[in-house]
Amino acid sequence: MNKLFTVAGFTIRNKMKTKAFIITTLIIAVIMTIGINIPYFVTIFSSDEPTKIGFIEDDSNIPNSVQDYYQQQDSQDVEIILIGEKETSQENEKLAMTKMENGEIEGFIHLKNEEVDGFPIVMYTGQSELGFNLQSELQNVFKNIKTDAVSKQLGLSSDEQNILLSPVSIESLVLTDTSEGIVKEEKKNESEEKLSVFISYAAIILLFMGIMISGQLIATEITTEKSSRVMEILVTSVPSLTQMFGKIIGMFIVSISQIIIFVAVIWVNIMMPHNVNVMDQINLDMSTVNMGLILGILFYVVLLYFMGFFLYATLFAAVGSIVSRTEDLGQAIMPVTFTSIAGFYIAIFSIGSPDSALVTWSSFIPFFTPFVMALRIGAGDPAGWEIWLSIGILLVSILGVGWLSAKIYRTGVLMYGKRPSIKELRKAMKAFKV
Amino acid sequence: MKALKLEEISKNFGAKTAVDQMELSVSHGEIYGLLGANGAGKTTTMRMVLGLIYPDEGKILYNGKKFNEKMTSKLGYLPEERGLYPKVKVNDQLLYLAQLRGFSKKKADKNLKDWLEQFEITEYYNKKIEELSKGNQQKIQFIASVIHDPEFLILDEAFSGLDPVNVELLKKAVKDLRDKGTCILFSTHRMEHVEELCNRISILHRSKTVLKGDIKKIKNTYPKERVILGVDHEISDLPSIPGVKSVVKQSFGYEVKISDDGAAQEVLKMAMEQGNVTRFEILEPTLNEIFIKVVGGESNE
Repeated sequence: MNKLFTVAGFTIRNKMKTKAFIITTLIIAVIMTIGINIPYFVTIFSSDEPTKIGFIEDDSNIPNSVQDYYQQQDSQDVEIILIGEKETSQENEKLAMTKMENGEIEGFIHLKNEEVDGFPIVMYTGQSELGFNLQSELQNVFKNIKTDAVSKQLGLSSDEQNILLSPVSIESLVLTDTSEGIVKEEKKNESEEKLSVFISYAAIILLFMGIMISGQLIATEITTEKSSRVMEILVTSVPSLTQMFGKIIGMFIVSISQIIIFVAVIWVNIMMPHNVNVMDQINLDMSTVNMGLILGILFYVVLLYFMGFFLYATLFAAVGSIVSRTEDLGQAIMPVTFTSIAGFYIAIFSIGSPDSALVTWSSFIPFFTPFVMALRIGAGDPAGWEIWLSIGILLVSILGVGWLSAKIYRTGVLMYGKRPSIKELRKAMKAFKV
Repeated sequence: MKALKLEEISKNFGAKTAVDQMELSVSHGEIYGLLGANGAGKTTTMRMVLGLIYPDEGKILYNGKKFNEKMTSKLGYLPEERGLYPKVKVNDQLLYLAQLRGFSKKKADKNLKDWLEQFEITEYYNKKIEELSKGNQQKIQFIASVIHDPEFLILDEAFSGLDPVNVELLKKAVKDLRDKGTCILFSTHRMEHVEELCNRISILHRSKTVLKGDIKKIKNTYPKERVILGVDHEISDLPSIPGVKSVVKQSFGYEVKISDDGAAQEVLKMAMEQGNVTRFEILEPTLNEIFIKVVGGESNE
């Protein structure tokens, strides 16, 4: 036990001290910080001055309503300037043109005399396009004004108008067939759904990254120990099983601390006062979220992460132990890498259809379970027995693969020269009596 | 009771026999030489002693006890293929290796400093292995095998790749360890080191022990076959003496190979008849000659 921690400690110290580790961690943290703050930077650069848009007055009160609407907004990023000093609309238009050329306004709106469906055609003249956001907002404003006008025409009260405009809400009730008959099951609400999908999405990506980076590092380190022949001393000092798991545990701790650093960076950035509206924008209402449900999902996801990491780490360790030169390693680990890529892709591309047959079946294949089950738990709705069955299969596989990997490792570290075939490996295992 | 005892151990890899009925014993304070060409079974023997692989037959006893996990703290190993972590500092990795052997970090640190001082390389305490010269890497490697004060030390080609000064340095270190009571198994194919360090040896050839025992006794059982003759004139008819196998002219005179002791006197007689003899010597066989004789010309060494 003591030696296990000695090996793990040595692995951690050496990994964390390397320049490569420190630099990659820093770079990723910086990129994350920049990424999270991009929306804020965008607002800084665009909201210094409100966009000024002229509006040529006419007989109607539409221009005033639009101006009122924008004045009531908090953000103040658009200001409507009414232009109506001159007698005729032609002269007003000319005035607007000069104002635009002087740079006082970006462009101007005027209402044409023609009408479509009882509302005048809105015309925008400017030196550049309106831009997607502004256009859709204006469209909404006009639509509201139009609705108002039409309802008034029809003589609807404001209550009747609200009824007409209120969105239809859909509540779903999923009926699950269980042995006790049909049982009602409450579905996650919208915010919970968003949060849990986000959690499983993040878990899948982090697991994939963890496996790819740490797995390759584990394999490389073992091969390096072999090719530098320090292995000869190691195997005579420590049982190879202790050595292998010490290394895996060490790398796991390194990988987890890296993730913790990244999560902390994300958290600090999101919590910065200027980024508070980010949460509002994604429409996440934490008050409606049932924390028990989320913690349950987190528990499963973390468990799957842990198990997935160990399953793949032992495989990478076994592969690393049979290769004698680092040059040959890339080719040797390919099958393991492809398996993890397959699991990752199945999960990522099924985020929209978490109940498909492919997802259901592959969630029980141990090499895919850590990815696909994480997806199902977050985005789908697997039954409890399904989760535990897949975790059970995964656990048995970890023990099996761990046992086999340890045997391969024990044999592989003593075999030098060309990469042994499975037959040669079996023969050697017998000879070494491992 | 012998410290280390190998009792008729055999090891097969598939159809190939790597070690066949090997038997030897080493006491505390003794350096036992294990000689043999490549592929004779030296490495397999040592791996069995280290507990890496188990013999198919026979047993290995350490102070009368069988191998168990705790033995690793008493074993020290200097592998033939040298290797340390190239990018890790000397103190970091040697303390790590000592800890893996179950040795306390504090004691290991003290031992490391003592050894560095003995080898006059104290300035490398904090350096990475890759920054060291090859000779100094070898010294560090040697320290790695003895830093935990092992009771049993297995040295595989301990002096290969070292300059004569460093060979003497390491030789002295090995002798010191022997005098402190360490039981040392020493494998090499450099005979001059064996003659200096070991009292007893085993010569392996193709998995079999072909010669075993005290070096002096072994030498006595082999006839003295070489005669050095120092003369300053030509001697004719030397090959015609019965028992003379070959005659080679050298700068100092002649080197004569004989098949029995009596022929030497005949050679001397003939030389004296023909002029002054400045030197006459009957040499005992070197270990090298014995080795080549026993193992035959098949060895590549």
